Amino acid sequence: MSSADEACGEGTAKDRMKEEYRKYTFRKVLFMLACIVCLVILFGYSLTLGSHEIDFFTVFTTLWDHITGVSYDIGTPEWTNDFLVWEDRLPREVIAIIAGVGLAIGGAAMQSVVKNPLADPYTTGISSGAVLGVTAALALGITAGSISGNYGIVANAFLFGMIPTVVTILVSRISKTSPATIILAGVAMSYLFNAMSTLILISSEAGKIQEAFLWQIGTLQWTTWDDFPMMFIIVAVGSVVLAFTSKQLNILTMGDESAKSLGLNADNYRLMVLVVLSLMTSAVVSFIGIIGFLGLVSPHIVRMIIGSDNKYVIPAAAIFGALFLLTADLIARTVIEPGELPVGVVMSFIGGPMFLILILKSKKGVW
Amino acid sequence: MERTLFKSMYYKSVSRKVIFAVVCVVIAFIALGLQLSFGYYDVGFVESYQILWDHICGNFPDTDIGLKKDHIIWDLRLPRSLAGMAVGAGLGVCGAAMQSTLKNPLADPYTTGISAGAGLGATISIVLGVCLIPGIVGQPSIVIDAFVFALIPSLVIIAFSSIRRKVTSSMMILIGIAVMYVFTAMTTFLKLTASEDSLQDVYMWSVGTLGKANWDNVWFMILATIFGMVLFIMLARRINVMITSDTSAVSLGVDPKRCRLLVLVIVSIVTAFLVSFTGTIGFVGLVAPHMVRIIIGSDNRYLIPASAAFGAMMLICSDVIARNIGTGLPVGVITACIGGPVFLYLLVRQRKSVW
Repeated sequence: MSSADEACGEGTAKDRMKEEYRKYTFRKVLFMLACIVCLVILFGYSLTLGSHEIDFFTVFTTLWDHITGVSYDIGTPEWTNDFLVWEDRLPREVIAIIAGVGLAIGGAAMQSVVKNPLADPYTTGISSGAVLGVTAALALGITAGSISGNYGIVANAFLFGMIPTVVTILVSRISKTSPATIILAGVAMSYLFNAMSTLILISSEAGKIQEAFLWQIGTLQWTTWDDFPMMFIIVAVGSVVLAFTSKQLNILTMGDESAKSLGLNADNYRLMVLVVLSLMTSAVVSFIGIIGFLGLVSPHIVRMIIGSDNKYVIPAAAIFGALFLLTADLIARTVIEPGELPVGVVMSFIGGPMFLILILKSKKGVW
Repeated sequence: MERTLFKSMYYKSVSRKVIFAVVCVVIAFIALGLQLSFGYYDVGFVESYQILWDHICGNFPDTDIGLKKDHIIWDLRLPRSLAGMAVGAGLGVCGAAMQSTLKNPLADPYTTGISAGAGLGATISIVLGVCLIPGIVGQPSIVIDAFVFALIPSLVIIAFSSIRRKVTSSMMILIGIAVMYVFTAMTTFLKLTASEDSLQDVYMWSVGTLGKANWDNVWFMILATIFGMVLFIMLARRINVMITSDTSAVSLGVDPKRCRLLVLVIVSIVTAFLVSFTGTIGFVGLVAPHMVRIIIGSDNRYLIPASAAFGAMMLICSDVIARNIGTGLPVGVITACIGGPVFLYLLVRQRKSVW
């Protein structure tokens, strides 16, 4: 065989590889694009809903006009539309998207870091810490820095939510930073904090239990623009950091030894991811309460559809999480009139069966 | 020469494990005495053992005060203590078996959704007043509903396994999670429609208590626990093989899918019995096996019985404290408050990883 033929053979092999790789990424990108399109449509649609119906395109023109700084006279229909869309409905949708992104990325990162399909953003005990903070604020009136009212609850949830994470990190630093240690320390802290909340709740009256329970199940009902800045900044920074280090996350799932030989300091990287995702989760939880299921299941669903390469799982989980929470919230507020269902309940009702079907259909194990 | 050295090393390591289990049993026995002697009516520590022994031998006291003490010890206090030991041992064993077969340190007896099922059953009974067997109201209705619903998640997993040929442990976990969330959502939905008072009842049920134990129901718990312990001790070698990997298990003559399902069924039955009478007592099932693992290693032949002993000890000691600190304090809270820091300490001190 001549050398020219050989080169030609190599060329086709290379082309074939390229072709395969393109196919491999195409599916993943397609999935993300589909999710984004759904998200935009749903976002617009949910802005049209409410006591005063505004049609789909008016919503987007109103949004655009607001952004470009068009102002209206008070009392005109345009002004009403602008007010309803911008002040009344938009905060809720935006915060649903931020929360969905934050929790789903948190879940995907946590599952990869501790290499456990049972892990979710709350694994290091954030939720139990936040619950204790809120319970303390509601039942005993103890707030961090004695900030009163709603902000006291938010501050308490955030600060108490970080305590179990800090302890977990300290324990794993002193002992060893293996995934099992992180998980177990998180479990111990969760139980400890839950026990303390229980202690407080048992000694308080029935009304307080109900209040604390309502906070725990999480809702987007009371969101305003005031909640936006802190949540947005923390989630945005965290997401960017995790998305850019997703390659290292892939290396980490191969095991600490391989990670080391590939030049990654596994222990330090793991702790960095833990800190980032805990801050994100805490920021989300302290404003809207504990929304379960999303952080655990969205990464799994995404993995079943596009495989477990974190380079794609992280962004795809983020988009899917936002879509999932927005859909669930839309159903939660429209299915019963008047009033609404807790979004967590809706999510479990739709997500649970969907998840079961996906498990049944998935051809290969992704774990 | 080398052989004797090996032998003595082996005996040393085995005796360490056995000593650990024996120490746990002894502590549990002492705690039993404390548990029996404390209360509104104080009975002496040694005296309480004496009364127990006499009752078992059939020597009933003939004085009024003696009869009264016998009644207090045997009828009022002993059921609760026995329930504590049975629940602790049962949850400890089930937790150890579940963690080993699913190869997951986060697994506990409730992982496959048993607690969510039982919680839904109890909530249906408390909030809606509906019992699956018509005509039964009150406490028995809660027990029946909780028991039946607790078994549903495992049935779903078994149904799935019959459809799919290959069922990995993570798949079982994920199915359990899906069912668990659906059940929890239903429970939450019911709770939202509930009045403040029934919500409090549901909350109290979910926290778990040993206070409802009496001679009518403690038998179920004891028998369920013994059933689980015997079967899991028999299965321990197989579970050990399963830890390696599914392929190695097959080549060593163990069918991993069948073995996993078997463990799941046993855990579900035992846990459903325990949970339906006491509510979801957490922490013991998850943490007791881990503590035992850190202390004696993860060979299931020793881990399973030692987890039973340790779990029983943990729960009865916590119950002694719970009963003496204040009235109505749930035992799970005490277990977590004391067990949590101890567990963290053990984690910090552990020398080698057991997972």
